[in-house]
Amino acid sequence: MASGFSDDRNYWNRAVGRRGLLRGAAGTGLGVAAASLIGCRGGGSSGGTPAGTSAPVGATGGGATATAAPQVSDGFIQLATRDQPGLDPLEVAATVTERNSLVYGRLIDTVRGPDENDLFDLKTQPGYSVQGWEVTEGGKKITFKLKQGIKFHNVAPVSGREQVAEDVKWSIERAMTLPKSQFKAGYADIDKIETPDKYTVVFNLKRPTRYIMGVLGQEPTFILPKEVDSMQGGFNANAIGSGPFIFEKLVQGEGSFHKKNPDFVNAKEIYYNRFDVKVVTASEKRQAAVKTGQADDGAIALNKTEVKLNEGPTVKSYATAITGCNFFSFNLNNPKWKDIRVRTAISKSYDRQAIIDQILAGDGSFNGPVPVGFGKWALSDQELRQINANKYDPAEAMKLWTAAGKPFNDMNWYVTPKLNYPEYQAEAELMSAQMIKNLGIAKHVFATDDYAVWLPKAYQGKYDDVTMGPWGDGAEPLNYLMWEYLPGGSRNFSNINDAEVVKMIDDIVTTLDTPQAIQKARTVATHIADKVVASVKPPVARSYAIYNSKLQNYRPGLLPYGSDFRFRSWKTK
Amino acid sequence: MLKYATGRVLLAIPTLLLLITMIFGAVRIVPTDIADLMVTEGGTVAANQTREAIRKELDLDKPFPVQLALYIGKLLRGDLGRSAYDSKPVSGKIADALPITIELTVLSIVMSTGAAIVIGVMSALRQDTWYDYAIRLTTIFAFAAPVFWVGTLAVVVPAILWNYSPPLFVVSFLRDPWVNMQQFLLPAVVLAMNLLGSVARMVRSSMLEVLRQDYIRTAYAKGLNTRIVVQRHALRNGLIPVLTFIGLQLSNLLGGAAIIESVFALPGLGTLTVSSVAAKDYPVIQGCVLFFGCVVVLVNLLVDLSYGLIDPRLRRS
Repeated sequence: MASGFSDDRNYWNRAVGRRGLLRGAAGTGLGVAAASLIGCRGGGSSGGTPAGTSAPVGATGGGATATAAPQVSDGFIQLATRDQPGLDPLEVAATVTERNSLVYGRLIDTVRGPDENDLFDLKTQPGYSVQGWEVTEGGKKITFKLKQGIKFHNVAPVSGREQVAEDVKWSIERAMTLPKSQFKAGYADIDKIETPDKYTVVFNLKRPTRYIMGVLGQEPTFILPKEVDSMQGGFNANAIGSGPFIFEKLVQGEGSFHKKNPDFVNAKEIYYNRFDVKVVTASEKRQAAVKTGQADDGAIALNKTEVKLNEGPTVKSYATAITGCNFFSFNLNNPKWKDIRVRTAISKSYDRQAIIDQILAGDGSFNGPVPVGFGKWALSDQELRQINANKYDPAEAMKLWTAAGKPFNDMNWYVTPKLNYPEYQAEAELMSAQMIKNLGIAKHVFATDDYAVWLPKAYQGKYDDVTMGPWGDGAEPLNYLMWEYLPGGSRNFSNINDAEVVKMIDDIVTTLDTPQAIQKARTVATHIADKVVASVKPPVARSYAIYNSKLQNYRPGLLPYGSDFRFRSWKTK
Repeated sequence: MLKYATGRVLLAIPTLLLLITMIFGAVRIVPTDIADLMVTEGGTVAANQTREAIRKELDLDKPFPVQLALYIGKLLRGDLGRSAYDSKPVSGKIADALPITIELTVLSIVMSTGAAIVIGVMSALRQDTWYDYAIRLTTIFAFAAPVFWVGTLAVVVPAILWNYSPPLFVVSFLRDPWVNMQQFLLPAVVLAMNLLGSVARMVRSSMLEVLRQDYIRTAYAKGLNTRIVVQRHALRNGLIPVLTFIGLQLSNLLGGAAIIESVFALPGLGTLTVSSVAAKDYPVIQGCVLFFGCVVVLVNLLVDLSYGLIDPRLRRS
């Protein structure tokens, strides 16, 4: 059996680091192992700081380096901005996946590295219930070997029974077939799942793909006991897994509560007796709770001034990676927008720097098809500024507009509701004023709806002219290309159906060599930003977060990644 | 008195029915279909149901008068429906959150009313002195300062200056009174400020009016000292309009409590209402708003009844 690793002697027991995978991929020419590098370490253009992030503001040193022996403390208190929408891992947003990671295990874990200045310092490793995996048949077959003796929580009706291969198969097939599953598309490359014995799971793929490993290492791929499905409320109302914490209750308006699982496979490495998530809607209270040591993490989306106010020995701060997008998309189904000169004229007629200066308090970044926070996978702020369609040039915009025959005098903007995202209204008004001034457009009509109405209409491209709003945060850079720029993508706001773009993205998905895939992702991003000009991204704000300085061996972050560090960190007295 | 009380109670019934109809109707006249909103934006339980199932469960498939009649029938049986967020009974959720809101509002009322009476009476007795001016200025500020702003300052300033913030998780008074008071005192003071400002001004003006009455002059002429005159004659009459005013202010207080609960992360009825709005949990929104409405009606009824007790002229009329 061919392996993606140079050293097979310790094959099933090793953690798979990025370099090891690269070596393995290079050594065998197989390369599917490199697929597990999705979301690999981002690197900035300067000093190892990834584009889209900056050095921590007011960080007081110490970082993730362990300075004392691990010690057990009462609990970790995570703050949440709003209620968890529910318990079923397949129906919740990525932001609550870290809470699911408390209860459930995965085949592949993606964890943060030790560099606290680099939020995309990530590596993949087998989940706690997995010995390792092997890739064969040119990347079309992935075999996972499970550890023996892993037990589900001792909660009825599962009552501590062993977690086996059938559970993995059942869980993934549920994710592939459940009508409400938000993640079905991620498993499209799986042809068949087999369980030759109790501890072996074989994925037979339709084609070699790097994307499937990213999906397996992300949120929906939790291993669930099927008995819960027949409980009252099923997975919506119950959460029983094999993870480090046992779910106790979810209280609307208050949060979710968990106690340590004494039977967890790595129980000795879990240094918290509890892990509770407290809902605190007011940002000021979240900051106060972290600053006073009542909570450990969760004071997020702060600006520089707020971080400055909270500076001191009790907190550490960091700049969050920009992994979300704002979109300003044209509806390409509308003949009005067929001519690329028209789209480019619009793109060049608004000043992105003015948005940063006037709306984002001077602290923002240009953004591209892959958000700038994804490091090497994305075009940096500096690179995006050099793209012709992004350059503010009223004269050139007018020239293009005139060449296209000054096609219309007004346009309808379908903007996300002010109630939910007030900044987009402000951005829209500024952009509109610039377009009216620079292109001589007579008027803009702003339309909006309740957020629940706006959301599907915008996401499915069912608006008149242009739409504006947010989307993200995801942990997988390829999602941003596949979802937004492929026909049928769940966020194809612009109704893009471009054969060349489809071919380019498809090529990335099947490129198993990571450096090559990164280069291709950057090429397609440049092509989309400059030659397709379908969704001309406005700049995005930078934001910051604070966490408890007593935490040791801890890596903060907003993404599903990093839960592993959360469990294995500890607090000094 | 019995006739007076019966009349007031009977008057409250159509008020409650009107309230129920308005709240029930308001939830149903939102521009989009409730079932659609619950499926697309709601909690997991709602999202897992079909639109048809939600419509059936909420009786949305029936004409409005039938829906209303069914809802009132359920209300009479104490059934407020089930939460779309987690399928739990709405009445149970309200019961869980209620003690927190009650503690917060009762503390606020006690603190604000107690302080306001003292301040207002003193201000009236020393009219147009520096003390009176200072009190009037302070009460205007307390009355005018928005609750969310004062609340935010009360969270931020102690955290920055003294590294202090009220405890994050609620502990009941019976379990640990000290921690419980740490949790509730600051938000209650903030909430009390607004009421204190308005009540103190009301007490002052009411007392000024009473102190000019002939019977007060007569009391002084009989040789009674100021303390007796104020306590036995002036205050009792001066507080009648104040009592009504406090009853009317209760709706403001409950609104303020919703904001303060959010600012201080107290899981009371206000927080439950806000989180239900975010989760598009219409049964809970409806239940909470109805509960708040009923409390206001009930308190006004009690104010009317106590008004009758305090003022014998009302009983006789």
